[in-house]
Amino acid sequence: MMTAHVALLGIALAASAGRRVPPRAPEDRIAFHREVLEDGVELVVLPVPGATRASIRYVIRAGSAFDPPGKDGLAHLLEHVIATAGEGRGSLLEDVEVGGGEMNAFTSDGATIFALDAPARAFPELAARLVSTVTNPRLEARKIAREQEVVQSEGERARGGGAIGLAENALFRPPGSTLGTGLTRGNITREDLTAFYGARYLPSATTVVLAGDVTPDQGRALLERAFHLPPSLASERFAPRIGTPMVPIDEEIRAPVQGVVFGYRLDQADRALCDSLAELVGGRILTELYVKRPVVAEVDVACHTLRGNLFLLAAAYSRALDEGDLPAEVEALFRTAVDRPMTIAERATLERRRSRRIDALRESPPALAMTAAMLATLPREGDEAPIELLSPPLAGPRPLQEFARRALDPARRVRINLSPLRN
Amino acid sequence: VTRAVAVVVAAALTGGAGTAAAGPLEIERVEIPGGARVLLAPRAARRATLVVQFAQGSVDDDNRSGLTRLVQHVLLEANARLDWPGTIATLHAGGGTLTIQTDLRSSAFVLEADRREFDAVAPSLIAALLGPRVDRVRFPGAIRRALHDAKAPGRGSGLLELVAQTASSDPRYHNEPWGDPDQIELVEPQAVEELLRGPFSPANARIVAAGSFDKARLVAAVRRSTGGKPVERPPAPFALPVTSHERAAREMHILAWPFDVEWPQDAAATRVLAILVQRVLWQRFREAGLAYSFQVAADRSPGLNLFVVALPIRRDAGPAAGAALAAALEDVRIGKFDDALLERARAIALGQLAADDESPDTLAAALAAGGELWHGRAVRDALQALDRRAFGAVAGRLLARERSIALHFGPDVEGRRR
Repeated sequence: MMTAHVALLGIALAASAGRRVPPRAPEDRIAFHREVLEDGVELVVLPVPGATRASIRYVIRAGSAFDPPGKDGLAHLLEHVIATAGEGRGSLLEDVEVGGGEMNAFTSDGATIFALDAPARAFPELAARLVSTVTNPRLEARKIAREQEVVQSEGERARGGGAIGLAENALFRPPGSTLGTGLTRGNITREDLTAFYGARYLPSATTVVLAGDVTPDQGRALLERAFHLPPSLASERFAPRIGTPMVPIDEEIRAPVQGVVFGYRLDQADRALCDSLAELVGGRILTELYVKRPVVAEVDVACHTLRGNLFLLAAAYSRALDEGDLPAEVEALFRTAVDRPMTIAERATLERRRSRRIDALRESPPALAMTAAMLATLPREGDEAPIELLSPPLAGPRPLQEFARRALDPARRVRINLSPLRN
Repeated sequence: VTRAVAVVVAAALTGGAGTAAAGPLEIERVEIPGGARVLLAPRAARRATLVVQFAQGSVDDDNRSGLTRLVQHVLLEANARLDWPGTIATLHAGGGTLTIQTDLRSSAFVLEADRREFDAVAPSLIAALLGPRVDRVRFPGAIRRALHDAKAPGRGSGLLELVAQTASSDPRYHNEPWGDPDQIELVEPQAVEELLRGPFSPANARIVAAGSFDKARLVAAVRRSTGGKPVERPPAPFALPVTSHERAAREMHILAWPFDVEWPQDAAATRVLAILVQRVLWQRFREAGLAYSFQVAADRSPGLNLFVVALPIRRDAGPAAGAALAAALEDVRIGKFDDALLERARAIALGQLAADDESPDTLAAALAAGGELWHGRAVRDALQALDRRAFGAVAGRLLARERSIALHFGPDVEGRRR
């Protein structure tokens, strides 16, 4: 009952807006409103009527890929300086906490995201302050020096970002360096930060995602009140920086775990099909290598965008060092998607998983907002983020088998063995 | 297997039956003579979390390291009362999870799922865990799964384990939670069955459910099995105070104190203390550019409550940071902070309590770790009434120097223990 109510209201809200996509069927899609405002900012609203908490993700579609040569770590340092604006009492960070909320910020190669979740009653004021802080930052020299020191501590604690992060470093040369090094960060000046902010923190490179008991009108009002940047000029637009992966790849790298990252590079346009294929292959690996035989301790099959490239990757961990040929077994189970179409039982399972995933997102504004924010960072055709991928349809057995035939191309294969014994 | 399938079908047929949500912070205790202790927190949610916790952890393995972990695998995979593949298939289809946790002083099974899968799986899981029958044909499979865990490279230790291992004079605290492969291979089914009659018996179990679930069916499943004799688990034998210096890859200071919660007022003050210390460390270390992040936690588990402050710090900050950390905590202990800071910490604690109450997994974990003394209306009332004097009494007692554990890890640290 609640689900239908959410979706129906979402459609009603979408019907009152300007540039937008047509509403989706309410029962199996997540309702959303998406528009590009006159100044170039993309506004995405994900209504969850009655939600007790609300979330905002302020997304800048530029990250460490845009760090100037020799100044690795700049985008991340800038994120730190902005996110920690103010000190002690009265600072946004502390007021968010007192208000029962949480605030954080993230920098990747392709994007910078400022995140805030708060109880519904406190949300409007705190979200407005976040937008105001990001669009009108004070880049004080003292704060910059302090955050340089803090990032040094962060760097000493960094551990490499898990199996997918290790795979990413193997796939791209040179390896990414969001944090930079002490040397490269030492080259960064206040003028560099100001220049980066001026060139990249543009309305046309910004997506603001709101999730919760929030309407598009309230979203627009929030930006009108708190957004301080001038409208983007056509000449200011910049293209995303897409890395060139080294595929096929077959390598063994040193890692704290025993396992394999196996999969394929796909075309970005195949994102929805990728999700279906990941679900099918993931279920088969779980059944064969976890339930029937304890070959893997954990397995995660998912679609990842790494430096603007789409990959279907399985990260499978084996706790025993002497338990068969894990990479070959995982590869064989990928190949079953070509040889053996999805069964009726598998389809029922995947449909249920999809339905539950949508239900779970509908109940959690933070998860909904973050998932939409990640979609907003993907390379895109035109102005609009592919928010419809929040609830992509499950592909049928035949189309999925045909896709697998095309996509599981040995020339695009990724096989990276992880081993603590590798020197 | 037939029995388990029948349960799943029955659940599907009665899937519409539900349980009315209780009010915020309302916890219901169900008394079952000779059976498990049950705490229920029905809430208006789409999902639910179940914790089945037993009073047996890796410390209790004595010289058979890994026995607890093996028993947990047997309860799932070599238990004639449970359709293990069917359970996993149901959970996978519904996006749910079932995990096993092996801690120093307790072990637990945690089920997290949409209410539809939860109501299908939870009653049969409870019945199987509280009234198991070891399937000797499937026993070697459970051994193999336990060996996988024990052979895992690079497992490391959690913060709580690290502190307890260092501070305790009892060598059993050095038992690896996932065990020693050589010893696991030697375990016979009889040894497992003996534990199932003892610390894994219903009388030594705690059942916690939070979120949206069919209360009547869940409680009926718990009532089905009773028996066993409650085991005594004495508190960890710390020889306080403890100071230790150990070589490690990264620079980190840890201060910890064992603590007790006898009244909701203790829980309220300890919750506020954790937040207040967090604020003080933010001012003295984060805003000074010395640290990226730090951890302040009141970790609770049966027989082992530790208030832990962990400060990873830049290598060049070294020993001086340890002295600064101790000074910061001493200032809190003697009340050297203003009323406004205490008031803000109290407001944050109240907000966190309310937020925890809305999240089934967080709520279930809180109740499993600390029971009603840690979460509930009495704690909220105590938080609302908390004044500086009451806070100072708890903080002064908890942070006493003579009861502290001080650990320093770092690449340049000489010596090991003094």
